[in-house]
Amino acid sequence: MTGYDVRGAPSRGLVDRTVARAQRDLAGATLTKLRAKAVAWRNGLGGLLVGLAGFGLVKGRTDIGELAPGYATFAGASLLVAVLAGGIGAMWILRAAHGSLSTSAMKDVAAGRSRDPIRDVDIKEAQESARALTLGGWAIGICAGFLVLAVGVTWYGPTKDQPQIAVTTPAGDGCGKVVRLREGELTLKTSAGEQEIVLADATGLRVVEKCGS
Amino acid sequence: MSNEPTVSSQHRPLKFDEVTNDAYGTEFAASCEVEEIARGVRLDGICPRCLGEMSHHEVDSYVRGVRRNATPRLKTATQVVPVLCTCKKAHDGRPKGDEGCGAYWSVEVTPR
Repeated sequence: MTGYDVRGAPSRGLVDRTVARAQRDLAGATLTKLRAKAVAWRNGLGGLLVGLAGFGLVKGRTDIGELAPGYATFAGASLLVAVLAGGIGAMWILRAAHGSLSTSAMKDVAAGRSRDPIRDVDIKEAQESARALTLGGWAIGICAGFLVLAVGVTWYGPTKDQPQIAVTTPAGDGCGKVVRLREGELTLKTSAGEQEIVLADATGLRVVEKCGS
Repeated sequence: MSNEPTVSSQHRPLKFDEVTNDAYGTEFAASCEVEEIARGVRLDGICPRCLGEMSHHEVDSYVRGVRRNATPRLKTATQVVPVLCTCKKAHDGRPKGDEGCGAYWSVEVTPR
């Protein structure tokens, strides 16, 4: 532990008493003020998350299964991070607003040299609550960010590829997306452009996830 | 450094009075022990006026968030700390909500 030297200093008169008293009163009231602040933050951040949930009223794509595989994974991971950050943030903020669930050892108070151990405990608790409140605020912010990201990707991300059709004919095979079917002639969009196939000539027809597979 | 409280002389139940004296700081410093607490230090000593045992909490900030490298001023530089008696004993004439015998003084705290 760092040591300190203490020596007398000239008094500045009543201003010293005023300052010392203000410091004492502020230190004593800090925990109460911090708890009230944490409750306000708890309500505010809770409202923010409810507001985000209200995004559900604006209809967009709701099934990440319709997304292209990479985007679906990204949206799912974002939702997971949002849920984890939201849960951790809620725990931190509740800890700041209402105190820790754990108990403190009474011997820590009794063994000290302090003549005002209650104020010691209050100052320490205020410090830990302030830390919990800050961490909780960041965690809820991260939760909100990833929630918006997940919704955005779900709404605007590219859809996964549609199934394609592979046609076998005596003249050769064709594979691609169906463009149109008119008068027994099937037009496919292939990697080489549009290809027309007379269905009456087809000897095989199957649906594939990807051409060439 | 012992964890046992410094033994005080007999407490003097003087009438509450907001007084100071330059000698108070020196007398308090002679009995003072410093302990680090969250965001500051606690000065434990004996009130030079009423001889009551007391603690003064000198905290750098009262509500603070997470700043990883923030070190309280008191731990890095000399500070003049105004102190007032906070003994828990009774003193006639003490206003409601106040504490101690009314005496106040200043000390200079320097980290080694």
